[in-house]
Amino acid sequence: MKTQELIASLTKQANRPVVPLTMRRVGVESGVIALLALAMNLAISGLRPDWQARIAEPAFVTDVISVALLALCAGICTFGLAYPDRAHRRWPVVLFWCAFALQVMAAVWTLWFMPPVNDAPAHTIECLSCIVMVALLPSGWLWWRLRQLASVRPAQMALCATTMALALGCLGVRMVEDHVATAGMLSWHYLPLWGFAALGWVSGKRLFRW
Amino acid sequence: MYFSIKEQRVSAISDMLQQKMQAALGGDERAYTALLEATSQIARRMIVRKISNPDAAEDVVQEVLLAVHKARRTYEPRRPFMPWLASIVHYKVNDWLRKHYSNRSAAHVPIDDVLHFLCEDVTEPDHSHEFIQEVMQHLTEGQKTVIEAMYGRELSVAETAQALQMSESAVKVTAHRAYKKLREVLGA
Repeated sequence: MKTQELIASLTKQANRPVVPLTMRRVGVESGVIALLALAMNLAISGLRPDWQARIAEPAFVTDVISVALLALCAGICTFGLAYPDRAHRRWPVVLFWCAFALQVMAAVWTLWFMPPVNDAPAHTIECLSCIVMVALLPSGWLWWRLRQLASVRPAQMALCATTMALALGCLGVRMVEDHVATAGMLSWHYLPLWGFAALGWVSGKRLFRW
Repeated sequence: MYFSIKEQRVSAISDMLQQKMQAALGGDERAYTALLEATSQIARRMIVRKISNPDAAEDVVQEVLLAVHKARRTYEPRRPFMPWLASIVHYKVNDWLRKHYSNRSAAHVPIDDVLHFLCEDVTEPDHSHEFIQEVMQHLTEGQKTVIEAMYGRELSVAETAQALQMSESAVKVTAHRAYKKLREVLGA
């Protein structure tokens, strides 16, 4: 097909007004979806009964804040990378990796310095399945919305998007499960988060090809 | 603040394209046609610097037009148009180059016809110094200098750029053109 014919064909398809998908609009939508997912999780499972005791623990607060910060920074980075003229900016990517490093350090600190608790309920695959259930709504919405955008760095964008969804899942589960922090949290909360993020990076180029 | 004439012209073109895009997003077909025609010209100029084959370059121009059409919702009317377009062009060019080089490296080359060469004595050099010098005569002075620096003196791209007072990208482009010429000569 000649270029002029292509231009004529594309022009025929563009006779209706197009509403731009601005970053502000998409950011607000993602915030609403995230809050909705967390609210649904709380409505179904209820807030953990020992929340007052946990809030007084620095380790718990650090853990929750680091995961929330990771979700926020991953979201900012995702949408920064989803627009062609914004993807060259480094600060969202630096912000994401700083939040990621902070979350890893917080996880290690929480688990290293927590005193051992006898008869603590173990973290199991049930934790992981709850995390995935909470992350379903944000990840589904993200997948749908990001395919309408145009990332010139799809692998990095997918890494950040997966991290955002699963960080929300981890946050939601920490708000409802009454398990204390043990080494099992590393196996069933954080390693899957990091693993799925890596999977997102690997599959991002194909999923978000345009 | 001083702007060169070229910068002023680029700025004027960018403003014009921004207005065309804003009108096109509103459903103006004529503005959209003008925008795509201007986009194809700008993209073509950027693409031929990296892809010398005219047919392949035109394919990439069409890919860029399709990408602009699909991605027009991501353009925010208040933002400048040229960085948005440039980003899309670079993405499509790099995508094409990646596919092109991966197809070439994975190509299966039947060796049945050259098996008898493999049995030859490999201790004797195949190509004399004179032969190499003769082949190098097909290169321009600049290309010869770069090849001699990178392979004769075994300098890296950065070292070659420093020694010849060129930019690294200029060294890479010159080397790439030299390889292409050498392949044509050796393949003929």
